[in-house]
Amino acid sequence: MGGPVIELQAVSKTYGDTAALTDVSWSVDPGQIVALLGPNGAGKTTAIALMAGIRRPSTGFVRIFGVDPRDRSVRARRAVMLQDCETIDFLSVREAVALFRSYYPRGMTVNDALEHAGLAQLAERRADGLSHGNKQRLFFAQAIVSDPELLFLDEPTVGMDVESRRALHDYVRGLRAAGRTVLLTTHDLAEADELADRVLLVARGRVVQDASPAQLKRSARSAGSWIRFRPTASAPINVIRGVPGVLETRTEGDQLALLVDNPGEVVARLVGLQVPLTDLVVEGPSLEDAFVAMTHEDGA
Amino acid sequence: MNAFGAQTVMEVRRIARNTRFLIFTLLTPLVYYIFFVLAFGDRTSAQGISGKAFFLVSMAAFGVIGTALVSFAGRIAAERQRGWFRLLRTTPLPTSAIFGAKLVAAVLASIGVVVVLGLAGMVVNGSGLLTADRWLALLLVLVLGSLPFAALALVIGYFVEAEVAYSASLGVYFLLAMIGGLFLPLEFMPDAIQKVAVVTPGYLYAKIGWDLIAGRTAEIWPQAAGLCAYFLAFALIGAIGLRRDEGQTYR
Repeated sequence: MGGPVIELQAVSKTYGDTAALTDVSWSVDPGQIVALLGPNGAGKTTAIALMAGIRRPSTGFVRIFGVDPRDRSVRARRAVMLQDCETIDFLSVREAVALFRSYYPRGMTVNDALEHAGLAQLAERRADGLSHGNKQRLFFAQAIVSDPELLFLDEPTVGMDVESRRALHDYVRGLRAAGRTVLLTTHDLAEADELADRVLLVARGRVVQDASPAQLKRSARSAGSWIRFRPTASAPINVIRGVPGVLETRTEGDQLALLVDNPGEVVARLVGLQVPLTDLVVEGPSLEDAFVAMTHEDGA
Repeated sequence: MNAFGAQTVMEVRRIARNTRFLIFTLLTPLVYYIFFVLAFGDRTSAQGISGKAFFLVSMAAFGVIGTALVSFAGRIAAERQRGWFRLLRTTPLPTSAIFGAKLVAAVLASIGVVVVLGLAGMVVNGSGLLTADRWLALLLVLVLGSLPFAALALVIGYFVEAEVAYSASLGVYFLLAMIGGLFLPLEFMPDAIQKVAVVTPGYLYAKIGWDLIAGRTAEIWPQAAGLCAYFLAFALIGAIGLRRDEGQTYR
């Protein structure tokens, strides 16, 4: 009691010559909702596989509730929603959830799990005939029916419609109130921001930031914004490039893209120079830009 | 319900709702049986029993081998590929319960196949074909004797790719049934093939049934020993496949 729920120490994982995770360490206390955030291929799913006891770390160690992730006592207290999984054939949605309920010593009623996952209307449908988004809901119902102390969710809302996604978010927030621990992976900054107390930003198999969503957004903001418009012959590019505040210029088709720190100031200066800003678009910092900025800082 | 019970009920449901399975392992032997009885029912086979009795055993054996081999092999391979085993290993359900439930369901399905064929036999031949204790003995022998085929399914399920496991098991199924003399009795085959046929598991299995019906109870033991040997060999190779698979997954 009282120790961290999840503990990774100096964990690396290689598949053949490919390094999926390199020397990562983190520990998660009870009651935290943690998002592993990163682009595809960053090592998030590998991290889930290691914590769920599906894969063995190449070096370092993983402990869940202080013991090996494959221990049966661990498996009874935590549940996993995997990403690349299939539903069981020939069973109804209700039967599939009831089956998972039977594996665990404790949990909620099957009806409650169906209700929380938004599957009450689809309970009698065949599980293997569901749409991708509804299959995701089913995996979620199978994972929460044991009312686990610790829940792993690998890209839980991919393929879900807005409504299911909101319902899942509401449920996860409810788990925080109940003192449960949740670790989810996502490549969506908004999702991490909405749910997590803490974000582990992962890129190329390393943790490049361990911060609250607010801190992360501040870092992302420092990555700059993009101004895009269609230039005309009357505005030479070298003039535009020389405008104070323009960090970088890029030609994208017939559009010109400017990387700037403060879009308002730069637009004002361009207007002052009488540059026609046809089809002007200003974009805030994208997650991708944040990754680039932060992984760059990390490497520097 | 406890996990093992629920897992078993689930496996039984999956068999009962699988029309492809029902057609292959229930309807096919039934149709063949009726056809064979109409064609050859009045002849006496070299096993010293009537064609009706001979093909009752043959087709019940054919159905049970299908239950144990084809549905088992295809399912294990498919579940391996679909990530279903991996998901189950994250739950507290022990591996023994996963396979135990499959085995119990296969045994129940086998009993179903034998009972259906037996009822068909009674309809075709009248209830005088076999005495009650012989019916029971036949049922017991056919169900127990399916174990080597279930073990062979484990081998196919773990060593053959999911895409071809079902077809491979179907191929092995018909080959074993053919060479075992379930369709064409052995006495019609060339000598060279007969010599091989008598040691194949399909023949050993059906031979026990034929001997039992003919009342040659004392003669079943060499065949039973042969089936045991097949079971041990297949179970060993299957277990190696299972270990290898777990090693490949958890690494």
